[in-house]
Amino acid sequence: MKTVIPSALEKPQGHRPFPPGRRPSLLARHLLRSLVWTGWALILLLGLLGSPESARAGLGTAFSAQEAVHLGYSRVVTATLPGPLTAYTLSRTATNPLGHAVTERIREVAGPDGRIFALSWSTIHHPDLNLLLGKRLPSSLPFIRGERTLSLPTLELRMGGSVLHSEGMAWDPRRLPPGINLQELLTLP
Amino acid sequence: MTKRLLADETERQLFGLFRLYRRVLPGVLGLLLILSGCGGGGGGGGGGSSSGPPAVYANQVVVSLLSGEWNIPTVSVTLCVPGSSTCQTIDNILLDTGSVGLRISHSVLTIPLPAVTDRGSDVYECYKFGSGDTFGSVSSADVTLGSEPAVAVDVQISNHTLSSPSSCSPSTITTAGVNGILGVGYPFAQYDAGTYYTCPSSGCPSTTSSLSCSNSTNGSFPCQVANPVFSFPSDNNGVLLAMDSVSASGAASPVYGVLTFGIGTQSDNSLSGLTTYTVSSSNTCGSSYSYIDASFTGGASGSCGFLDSGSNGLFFGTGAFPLCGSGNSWYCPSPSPGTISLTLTGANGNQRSFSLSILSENTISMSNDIGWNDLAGPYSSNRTFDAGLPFFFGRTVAVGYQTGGQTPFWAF
Repeated sequence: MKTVIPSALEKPQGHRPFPPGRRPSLLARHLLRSLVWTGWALILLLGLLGSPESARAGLGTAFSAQEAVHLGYSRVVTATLPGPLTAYTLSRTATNPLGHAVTERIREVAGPDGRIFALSWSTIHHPDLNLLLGKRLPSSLPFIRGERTLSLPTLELRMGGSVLHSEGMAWDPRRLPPGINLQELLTLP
Repeated sequence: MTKRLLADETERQLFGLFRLYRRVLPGVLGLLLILSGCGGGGGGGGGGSSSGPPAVYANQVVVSLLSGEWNIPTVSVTLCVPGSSTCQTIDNILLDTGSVGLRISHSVLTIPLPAVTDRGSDVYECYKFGSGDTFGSVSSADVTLGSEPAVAVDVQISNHTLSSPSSCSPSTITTAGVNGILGVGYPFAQYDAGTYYTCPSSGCPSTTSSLSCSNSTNGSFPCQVANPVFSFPSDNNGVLLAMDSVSASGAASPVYGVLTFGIGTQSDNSLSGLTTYTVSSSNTCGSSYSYIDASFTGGASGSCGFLDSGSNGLFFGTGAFPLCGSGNSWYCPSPSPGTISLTLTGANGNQRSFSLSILSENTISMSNDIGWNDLAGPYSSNRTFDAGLPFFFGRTVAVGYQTGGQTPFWAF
């Protein structure tokens, strides 16, 4: 198979043992040990910052301006809703394959804990679902034309449309606050 | 489990058998008693063809619904290694008026179609349908549809097992026995405007590529997967799809239709009797989505619609009727059938209203019939009407391409 996406986070290489017969001094060994521990701490920190989970946007994460950048959106409107819930509406103007300017929108709704529990989109092509839904999205989906309905313990997904207009919504059923009107919450302007 | 194209086949069949046993057995026994008293009766559903496939002219191909599924129209396509007699005819290709280009599953392709390359790297494509993606390499082929002359086009060899860029969510197109997709319609253009990548042996990049291809049938640009109909020497400005009528209670296999190439180019492809609904950037539906205006039960004001033979149901509204169960993606009106109104309006002002019947999927799933003009489910929003294959039964639907100064249109 020819196409392989390199992993964003390579496994750290184990440190090489000292060659036999060349033992460093106690101080050198202490300094070296400190350096090794510092190095491991840095690797761990970088790993946490760069791990797919923390870099991921969308369901289960707190919204950040960085997320809009990752998704390629320049405008974000924040609205506080009863609950208290917070809705983030991302928008941008894009040119579709026929050359027409189209406004694309993604709406994400966060619960009182600040974490996003539902989102919707109206875009030319569907947004990066791996980014927005993370590991909830199965690696292989059956081919479906028309409307896709996916019901999993951690993900409800509805998506459909055409090759020029994707519409969809997704939510984590475990995190839905009681008494909300999901359709109303996710309606895009 | 719902019968869409397609979820877990085994689970669906087992569930269907269970429901059949639980809900139909008493009725079947009763029906047998009645038939025995009446001296027999007609076969199931009605409306399906019993006299074999229709005869077709040179600019036509037979369309047949896939057995064992609901509303999956298919055709046969012949591909050849360019300039050679090394050819393969592949059946069960989904006929899709809602996409552009020919996509073949890698698992059924047996001839060595040459890869389209760009500066030494193979070209791959992620083609995004609204409900999911297909991913795979791009190859060139001589493609024959019916008795039209073979034409050279780039095609996608779909392979969902390949590693794909993160923004692509590929699925297998061989689900339910479909071996590929022939896109001959919306959005009315020759090339599919997919998302393309040049992929060296180290893997595909995460960003799309600006292509300058070799081995492409389209020269150095745009080297994209294309609708073969555009390349016909004539009969290249659109298609007409005429599907058999089916009754409201379903049609048993076989169910046929005819796909005709060209509009107004032969005696068999006139628009006579059809009304055109043009697509134009003069209104919001046209400029944003290349749709036409739609007003329908459960729809928001300012809604839009499109016609898509690749969608096996009517999809509209977010709660026009109750769903058939938790996680089920079909409507179950109660009482069944339910009725909805649909009004479609072209940019040219032509307008027509329909009253459409919606049958409970609980009823449909108890039948072995394959053609249903009243199968429907919800859409992701209440602003779009996806007029899938149920809309096509019993009428001729034309797709007019954006070519030669022609304004794109649907006609029906």
